[in-house]
Amino acid sequence: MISVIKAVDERIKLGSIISLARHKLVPIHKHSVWYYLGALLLFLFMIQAITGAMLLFYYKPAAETAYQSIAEIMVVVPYGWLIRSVHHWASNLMIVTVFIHFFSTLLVKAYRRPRELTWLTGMVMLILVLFFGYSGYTLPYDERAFFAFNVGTDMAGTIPVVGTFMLEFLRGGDIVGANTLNRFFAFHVGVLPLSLLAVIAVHLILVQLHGMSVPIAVMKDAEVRKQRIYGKPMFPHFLWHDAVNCLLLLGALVSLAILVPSELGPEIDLLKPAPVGVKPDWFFLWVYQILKWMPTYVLSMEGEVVGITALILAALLIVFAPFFDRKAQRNERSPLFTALGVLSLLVFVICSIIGYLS
Amino acid sequence: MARVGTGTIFLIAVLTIAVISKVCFSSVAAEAPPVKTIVVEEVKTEQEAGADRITSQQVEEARLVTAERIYGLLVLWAVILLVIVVLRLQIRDDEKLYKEGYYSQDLE
Repeated sequence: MISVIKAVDERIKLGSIISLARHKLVPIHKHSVWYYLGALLLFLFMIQAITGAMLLFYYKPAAETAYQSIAEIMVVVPYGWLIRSVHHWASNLMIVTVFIHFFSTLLVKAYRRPRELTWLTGMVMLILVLFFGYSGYTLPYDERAFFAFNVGTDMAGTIPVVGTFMLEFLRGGDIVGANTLNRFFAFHVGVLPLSLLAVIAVHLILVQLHGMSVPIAVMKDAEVRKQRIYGKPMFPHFLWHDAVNCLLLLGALVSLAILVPSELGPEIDLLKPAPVGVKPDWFFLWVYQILKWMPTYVLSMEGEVVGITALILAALLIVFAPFFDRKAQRNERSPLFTALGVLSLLVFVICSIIGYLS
Repeated sequence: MARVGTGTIFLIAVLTIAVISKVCFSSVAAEAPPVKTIVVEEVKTEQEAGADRITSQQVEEARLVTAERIYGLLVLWAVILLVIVVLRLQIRDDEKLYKEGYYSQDLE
């Protein structure tokens, strides 16, 4: 074993990488717990890639075969039900983790100079992960997926200016059908994984380049107390902690997959009317609920269009927060953007709960 | 202690490869030979045509939480907790080295 490691080290200079990692320090303070989320996300992405590849061996992406191939995975393929359930739950946990990572980064103002690009790549990842979740939700091509296709693409259709183009582009025509499934399959297994991989690579390089951000409050506190902020090496300290977290996450993931296996809804019946109370997946419930509250018309404009426009503007404000939040850029406390972060978190949680219960 | 850590990673890698190979090398094709494809092309009556379709009842049966699955889950948790105990020992060892000043502590 040792000789193998030595042989590998001689060829790829493993030692120099470890030595670099030993010099890489992670700041230690009361908010250090947030630093673990990135590794958890990477671990979940790896699980998604492995289980996704396994499902790809059996999934048949055509309108006539998709539903039955998923049923085959669940019933005939050895451990198919487990692989599909792990994939399903890992995607949900990935979205939960990416949201926690997003809100924690927003609230501790980790987007401050020189980490603006790290933040922007993170925002692109958030969008990609959400689209990943949505496209995966539709692939079983069951009744639920069919209406999710309709609701989701309808929402995209209300975006001002590009709405009509988006609607047709996503559906592959005017109505939801075989073309829509093909497109979402292409997104899910081709476009999104490659894009996400590229953005993760850039994000990780930037994180390595700039190191972990220390929250303003911790910096100020250290200044007042005239204390230094110490760091612990990424390797081996944080690596072992990350390993423990990932193992616990793996246990939780498999527990969920076994105790609450993913469902397969009824087959699509185009003659049947839409079931009452069709809702999008949980991570879009907040958007759904806000649009539901919008009146039919606002100042002679369609309510849905106004709602979507307002949401896009709010999202842009958050995406470009590093450039608007001047105080944070000067390492000063910025209560306005903290309030904005708390407000967006409350809107997300409360609207999601109301949307789920309504 | 570093050897224990390396050993643990090696053990996890072997277990992962074993599980993946178990899942990947047993296929639908192995259980249902290609002959079935020829049968599908035969002319069937309306009733026969839907005979090989998997029903929602079969899917629901596949989702059942059986005692065997719970047992497998308990074994997995036992392995995870065992590995975590070993990792915690490794972390404790590293903490000692950190406190003794073996690693740099100054943030750049």
